[in-house]
Parts: sequence; C-alpha cells; structure tokens
Amino acid sequence: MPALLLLAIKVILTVTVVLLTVAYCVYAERKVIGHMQQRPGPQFVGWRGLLQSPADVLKLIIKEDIVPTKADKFIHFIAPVLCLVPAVLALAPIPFNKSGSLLIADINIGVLYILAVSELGIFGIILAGWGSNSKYSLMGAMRSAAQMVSYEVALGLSLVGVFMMSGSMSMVEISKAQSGSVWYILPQFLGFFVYCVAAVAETNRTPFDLPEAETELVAGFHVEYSGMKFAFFFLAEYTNMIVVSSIAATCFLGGASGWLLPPLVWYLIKVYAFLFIFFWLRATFPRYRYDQLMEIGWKFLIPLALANVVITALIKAYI
Amino acid sequence: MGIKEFIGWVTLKDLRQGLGVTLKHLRRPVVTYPYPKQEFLAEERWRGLHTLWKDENTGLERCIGCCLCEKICPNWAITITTSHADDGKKVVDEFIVNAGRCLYCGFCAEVCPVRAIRQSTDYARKVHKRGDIILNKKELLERGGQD
Amino acid sequence: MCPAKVMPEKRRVKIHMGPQHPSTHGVLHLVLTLHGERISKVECEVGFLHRGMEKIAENLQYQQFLPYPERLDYLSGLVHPMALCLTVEKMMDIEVPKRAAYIRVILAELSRIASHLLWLATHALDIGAMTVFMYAFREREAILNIFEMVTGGRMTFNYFRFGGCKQDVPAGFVERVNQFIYDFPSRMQDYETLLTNNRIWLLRTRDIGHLSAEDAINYGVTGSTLRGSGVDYDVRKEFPYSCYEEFDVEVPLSDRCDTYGRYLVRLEEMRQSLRIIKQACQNLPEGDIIADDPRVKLPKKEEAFNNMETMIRYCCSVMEGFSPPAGETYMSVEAPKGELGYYLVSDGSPKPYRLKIRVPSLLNLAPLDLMSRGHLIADIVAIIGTLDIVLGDVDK
Ligand code: SF4
Ligand code: SF4
Repeated sequence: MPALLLLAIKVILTVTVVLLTVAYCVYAERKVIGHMQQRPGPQFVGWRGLLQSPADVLKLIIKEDIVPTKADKFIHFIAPVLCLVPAVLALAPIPFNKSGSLLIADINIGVLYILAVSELGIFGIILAGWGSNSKYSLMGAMRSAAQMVSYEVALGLSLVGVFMMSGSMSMVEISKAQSGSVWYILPQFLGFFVYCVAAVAETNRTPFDLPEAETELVAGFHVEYSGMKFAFFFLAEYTNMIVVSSIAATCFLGGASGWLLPPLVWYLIKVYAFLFIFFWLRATFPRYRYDQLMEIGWKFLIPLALANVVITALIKAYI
Repeated sequence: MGIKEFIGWVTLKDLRQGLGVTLKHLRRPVVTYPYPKQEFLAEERWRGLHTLWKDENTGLERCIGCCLCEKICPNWAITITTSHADDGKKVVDEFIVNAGRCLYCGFCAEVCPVRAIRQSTDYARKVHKRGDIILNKKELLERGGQD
Repeated sequence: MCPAKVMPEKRRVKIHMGPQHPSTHGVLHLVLTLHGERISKVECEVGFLHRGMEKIAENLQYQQFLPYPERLDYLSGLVHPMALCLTVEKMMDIEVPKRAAYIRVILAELSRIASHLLWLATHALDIGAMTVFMYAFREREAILNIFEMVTGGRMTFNYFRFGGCKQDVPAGFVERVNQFIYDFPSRMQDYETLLTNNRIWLLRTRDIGHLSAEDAINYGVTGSTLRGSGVDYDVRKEFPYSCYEEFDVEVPLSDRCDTYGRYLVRLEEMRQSLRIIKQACQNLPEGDIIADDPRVKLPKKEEAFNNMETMIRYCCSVMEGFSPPAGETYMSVEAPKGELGYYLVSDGSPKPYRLKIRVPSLLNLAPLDLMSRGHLIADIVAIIGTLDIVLGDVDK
C-alpha cells in the first residue's frame, strides 16, 4: 500500500510540475521571442508579467466552449483528450535524477514506450480534424498525421545508435551508461542532429509547424476549438516538447550527470536549454512547405539516421 | 555549387547566421513602449481633435462665423449656426464638430482666416455614448485656449 | 507536370480563403479549387473594401478631394496625393517650386521604403519568419515618425497641395532623415541575413509563382512585380516627374521571374530609394514651398484682413476652389506597388467631371490564377505576398 501511495504522490507531483512548467514555458516563450524581436513580451499581469500564464489559463477555462453545428459532437469532444493523455503518459519513465528515485516507472524499454505512447497523440489530431467537419481542420490534421508518422521513423532510428552504445532501452540505464564515459552527443553527433530535427518536426514546431500554419490554414486542426478544449491541444504540444527535450537530455547529454550542482538541477538545465532552442528556432526561421518537409524526412533524415546506425554498428563490432 | 558553398551548406552556415541575428537582438534594448501606461506624445503638427480659441486681449471668441471651415470640410463634419445681435454684429450661436464624421484632414484649421479653429495633439477621444462624440461650441472652447 | 489538371472534376475540393484570413492582406476573397493540396484554379473576388473613391471625387472640389487618395493605398499614403497633385498641375500648367518637388521626392521615397518594409514584413510572416516582421516594423516606425513630424499624421497625411506642399518642413527634418539613412543599411543587413541565403526561404520562394515577362506585360502588371520578371520599366525613369531626372539611380531588375527574384528586386529598390533620399537631402534647394499661382495659393491670412480684394479672393478660393480648363489629362507615377495613374476629365467646373484611378494593385492581382496553378496551398500565400497588393488599393 505505501508503495502505491508513493507512486500516487510521484504521479501527482510529476504531472503538476510538468503542467506548471508548461504554463511557464508559454510565458518563457513569449518573453524570449519578444526580446529577440526587441519587445518586452507579457509585462502587465503581475510582476514582469509573471501572472500572465495563470491569467491565460483562467481565461481559457471560463471561455465559452463552441462546438460547430456540423461537427461530430463525440469525436469533437474526445479528440483533445486523446491528444493530451498520451503526452502526459509519456512522462512516466523519465528519470529526473541519477538513481531514478523520482521515476514513476522504470520500464526496461523506456524510450520505446515514450515513442509509442506519444505517437498515440496523432489519433487525437486526426480525430480533431475529422470531427470538426471543416476543410481547414481536416487539411491540418492530414498534414500533421503524415508529418508525425514519417518523422517518427527518423526519430526512432536516430536513437538506435544510443541503444547500441548503451546496450539498453531504459532511460535510467542510458543515463548511467554515460556517467562513466563521455556524453553520447559526441560519438552520436549524427544521431543527435537527426534527433533534433525530427524532434522539432514531431512536436509541430517552427520551422515544421505546418499543421497549424497560421498564415495558411489559420490554425490547422484546432481551428474549431475554443476554451478548455483548445487548451488541451496547447498543453499537449508543450508537454510533448518537454518529453522530447527530456529524451534528448537523457540520451545525448548524460541525463542528470554534471558537476557541483545537484543532479535534478542539471537535468532541468539541460531540458530548459532544449526548450530555449525550440523558442529560438521559432523566432528565427520561416516555415517549410509540406512536400519539402516530407522530402527532408524521407530522403535526408532517414538515410542519415540509417547511416548512423550502420557506422555505430561497425564501430561497435570492430573496436 | 563551389566547395566553399558546399561546406557552408553542410555546416548549416545560413541557418547559424540567422540564429546569430536573433541571438544578437536578445541582448538589445526593447524598442516598444507600453502604450497606455506610457503616454504617446504627438508631434506639434499633429492633426488631432479640434479646439476653438479665444482672443488673448479681449477674451472674446476668435471665430467670426465666416463659415469657411464649414464649406471646405470634405465630409460636412462642421455645422455652424449664426445670427445677428441687436447691434447688427454676427454671433456664432452654435459650432458643432461631429468628430465621428471628421477625417482629420486639417482643412478647417488651414482655411480659418482668424485661426479660431485649430487642431490639438489630442489623438485619443473616448466616449461611452455615440452621441458624445459630437463636440459643441462649449466643449470646443474648453479644449482651446487664449492667444 | 501538374497532376491536378488531369484529375476528374468531382474529386476536387473547393476552399474559401478569406475575406477574413490572416494572409490575404485584408479582405480578399479567394475560392481555391484544390486537388489534395494542389491548386488547380483560383478565383478572386474583390470589392469588399469598395468606397467609391472615383464617385466621391466627382462630388467634391479638387482641393477637398485631396485627403481621399491616401486612403486608397494607405501603406504608402504620400504617393497617391502626389499623383493627383501632379495630374491637376499638369492640367493647369502649374510649375512646382523646386524645393517643394524635392520634399515631395524625399517623402515619396520614404513612403516607398515604408511600403516595401511592410511588404517584407508580411511576406516573411506569411512564409513563417515572424521576427523579420517585427524588425521591419521597427524601421517603418522611424519613417512614420518622420512623417508625423512633417505632416502631422502617421497614416493620413494630407500634406501635398496643388502646386506644392502645405507648409515647409520643420527644423530638424533633414537631420532626422539623415539619421534614418545612416541606420537603415545595417538594419537591412539583418533582414538579409535572416532571409536571403536562408535555405528554407530559398526553398519557399525560388521557382514559386513564375510570371514570364510576356505574361506580365500582357496582364498589365507593373512595378516591382514587372521588374522581377526582367522588364525594364520604371515610370520614374521613363517619364520623369517631380525632378526625378536629376537623381542618379538604378532600376533593379531580376531575370528569375519568381518570388525570390521579386524579393531581391524590392530589397534593392529600398537601397536605391535610400540613394535618392540621400541626394535629395544633400541638394535640397531653398525657396518657395508652393507655386505662386493665385489659383492654388491661398493669400496670407494677415493680408486677407487688411485688404478687401485679398479678402474676397481668400474667401472665393476657399468657397469655390479653382477650375482647371476643360479637357483631359493622364499622369502616372511610380507608386511602390506599381504604376499609379490618374486620368482626369474636367469640364471647366471646380469639380472633376470624371476621375479614373488606375490602381496598380488591382492589375497586379490579375495574374494570380496563372501564377498559382499547380502550386501547393502553402504557396498561394507566398504568391499573394509577392504581388504586394493592398486591398484599399484593389477595391478603390
Ligand atoms: S479636419 Fe477636415 S474633416 Fe475634420 S472638421 Fe476639419 S475640415 Fe472637416
Ligand atoms: S472657425 Fe474660422 S473658418 Fe470657421 S467660421 Fe469661425 S472664423 Fe470662420
């Protein structure tokens, strides 16, 4: 029973912390991008706009929930939930410190689990597009599905090199394997590069944010959503960002290892650094076109990831 | 593609330079200002809301009721009613500027021969009722001054 | 080449883009016929912002109509009244003083830069680069501040008058412009670094929206869009007006015929405009600001009160305006969006008999269908962006 209680506490703690992080991620994003554009970002609500995120959440909660008359009510309702739940589930095997005591579940195929679960979010997106009964939504959903399916391949393949080097798929094992030797970002730089690109695409962020390209499809799959349902998509997107950043920190940057500071802090620094890069990219780049994105995925990233696997295998076998 | 460009392409030179620009700006000061908190100061020539002025020495209204401003106004935003006083002098009974119709072209101030109607730097008039947007003579004189 | 052409009709999807859509630059309504994401036909519906400017002109005296044209192309509001002034001046044979002409040139070229900056901002935003948007607006702000200082308005200026300008530029104007000239090139370097060589930008703009020189001429396309197809036509060079022949300037051209080519042309045009402004500021002559012609120049206010004749003339010129001789004139200028023409018919009365405005944006919009066939839906926003339309101008 105490074990179950502990688990429950852990779950609640993790989800709360992550959702809070998400809320402040939005704030940080607006601040960072704002300053990159020489404007201050949110600044009126609270000290330096620090209460902007709670205010936004409140606004979204009390907003009217609009359902289009022609929408499929059930699907329209279930889609945001289907989008958010996998994103939160994917947090389970992420180790926030070295020993893994803050871990919810140490699964021996942790990374695979994350990839598999977070991929379920696509259902949410497709159903959102389908259920809204709008051409714009549907188009966004189709794009999103195609994009996530193809980049999932590259994402998975880019991590294979890491699995080969560490000999495990468990997040804890992978980060332990790096603490003795160098971080995998050095031997696996190709894999890291592919991972980064695929991760940006996977989370639908600029320069790969076609599903919600606001200037073409207005907002893509969530154009017909408002209020809390819209917030769910938002939460899912940012939670996904945190998940992919955590995988990157664990698999390529040595997880919670680092000197002087406590491991948890190190871990968070690494994750936040990744999030910062997400914002930075968003501030800088134009958007790819749909077909160009697919081309990059299939013709460039996947071969590169495969090459990385082969090279790692050869080195592993002969050295 | 030369070898140099190829190396640049592989090492993502263009993208790195772009990232450099945004990073450079991250440290630069903010150029916007928080509008409602910090007031926007219009230039001297600003063609804002109208004012009617009085004469400095006599304290009488400068307006002589020539109605040139009413005539030139392209949008018929000005309505003037005049009458004759007992001594035969023309008096301006009412002077109405419908700020809702006005397109702030500045012609009225430009043609007024006695510089009675002028435009202030007041750029933001806010009213709660639509009717309040119409300015009458009293308000116009209050907004103006003497010189 | 384009699979959409062979697909059966019933498998196509119609999508309505606009009039409320973030990237149609206003209230443009497009009906896209799509196959998948590929465009097989674009129908363009305009007129949502129609205000009947030409009809308004027929009901107002000449000088009363002056504040209206700047509401057509509100992004470069100084060029439209300039064209109207030039038309009426041509009709009445008024010689504009040199100082006024130079000031007109400086302001018009600043307008061109402001308009191109806004084009760059929205074009980049359409393609997803949002930072360029903010940077471009930062520079545009500097220009608008100069305008505000000179004219008293930021978007609606009403500064040009028939025969010259309303009043002289305030003290410190040349310094402010010089400051802008000094700042601007380094700022442009930032945009270039963010876009010109960026591989995503290249992918999104190269070979998109091809418009051959022949098609461009046939459709009546003008301005940077035409020069982006390699046709050397610039009204400032071909039919110089307002002292443009005195400035040393090049007309940038590009043979690429695509969105990227037009992007390069417009960037270079900003530099050339800057050159014109520089020369005009250096050689800004002294002198009158408005032609000394009783038809257009109001007598001094002090004089009007000391002299009965002057007073009558003052009142008459306000009440009745002036009457150009009966006849017709056409005058065109190079607006930032293209050739802007005013065709004026006068019957000798103080109101125009007919005023036809040849707006560049409307004609530049014509080849949209041709340019976007076979492209993907994401390209259409790039193509609308590259045509550089403004809906106030399109709908008149
Ligand atoms: S500013 Fe122009 S529109 Fe407004 S009242 Fe004066 S003349 Fe009329
Ligand atoms: S404000 Fe000036 S122009 Fe108008 S009626 Fe009075 S004196 Fe005449």
